[in-house]
Amino acid sequence: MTLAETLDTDTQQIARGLRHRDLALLNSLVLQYQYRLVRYLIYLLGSRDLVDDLVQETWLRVLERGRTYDGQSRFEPWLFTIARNLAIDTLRKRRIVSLDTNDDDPEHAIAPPISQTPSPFEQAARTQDAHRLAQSLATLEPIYREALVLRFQEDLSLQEMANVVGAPVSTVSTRIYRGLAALRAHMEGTPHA
Amino acid sequence: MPDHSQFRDIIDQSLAGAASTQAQQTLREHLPTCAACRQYLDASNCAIAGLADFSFPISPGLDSKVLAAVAARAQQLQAAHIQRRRLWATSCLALLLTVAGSFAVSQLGSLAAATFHLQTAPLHLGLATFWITPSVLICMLLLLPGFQTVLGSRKGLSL
Repeated sequence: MTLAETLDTDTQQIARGLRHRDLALLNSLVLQYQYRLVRYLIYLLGSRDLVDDLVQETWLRVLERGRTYDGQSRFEPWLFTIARNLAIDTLRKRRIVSLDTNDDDPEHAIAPPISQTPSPFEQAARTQDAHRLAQSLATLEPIYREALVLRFQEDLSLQEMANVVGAPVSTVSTRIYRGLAALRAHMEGTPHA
Repeated sequence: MPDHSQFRDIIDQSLAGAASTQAQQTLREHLPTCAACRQYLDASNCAIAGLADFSFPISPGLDSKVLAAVAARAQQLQAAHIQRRRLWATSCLALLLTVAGSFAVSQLGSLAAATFHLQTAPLHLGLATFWITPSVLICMLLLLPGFQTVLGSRKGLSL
């Protein structure tokens, strides 16, 4: 059995389980994807404030809308799409910021959070390099942080990313370049350990 | 004189997974000859590698809280599902009984009209008033709690 066939079987098993609202399967998905979901939401929001609530809402939505997952594509992009939509809805309701900013329109860019407490990135940094990156990540716009985590941490393809964020592949690529440029500038601008 | 910006664009595209095979080949040929582009690539790789050096702790109790919420909602959905099935079964049965009962009474009415030499139209009107309409109303009253339950559970789902 090839890797692609194994993946197909896995995703189809997930789709079947979600269709039947299989609690055992859902519990295993929660345990398997929880960290990645938390990380994605932290990158998206730049804060931990709403993350726990959104994580719970995301899994409830997975349970309720599980029938819409067809098992033809990977589970992660579908999961992140749900989390993203919930995050946007929540932020809109709270009138904080809009995540649907246009790259070319700085007027609608998301303002970085102004806080005296260390950002979740600074709290999560384990190395000197990570501490340097944390400062950059904390001030980077969410759409670029999101592009970085989806591409370089979640290893999503450009098409999968485009599906998650609901933007063309070219837009997603641009966000990766800009996000990477910001990190690189920060790494180059400060002395390495 | 090589155009560094062009190769840097290719490096970006390559890292993003957007570079063509030909562009990657061109880059592979260029890199050994250009220290500036190699440095650019190293800086990019260093930044990407740095992203793996974060460890975001999951809030204590989050897993169990989520699992409990999911189990509770699953139970709620299951109850709503059973309620929906009951509703359909009750609806079908009520409809069947109404149709069959009305037909039987209509036949009896026709028989009674023929036996006792009564007018058929008023008799059927009476049957409709005192039998069919009350039957339908009773069916609807029986189904109402079921509808309310299903509507209530649907409202709970629209998060």
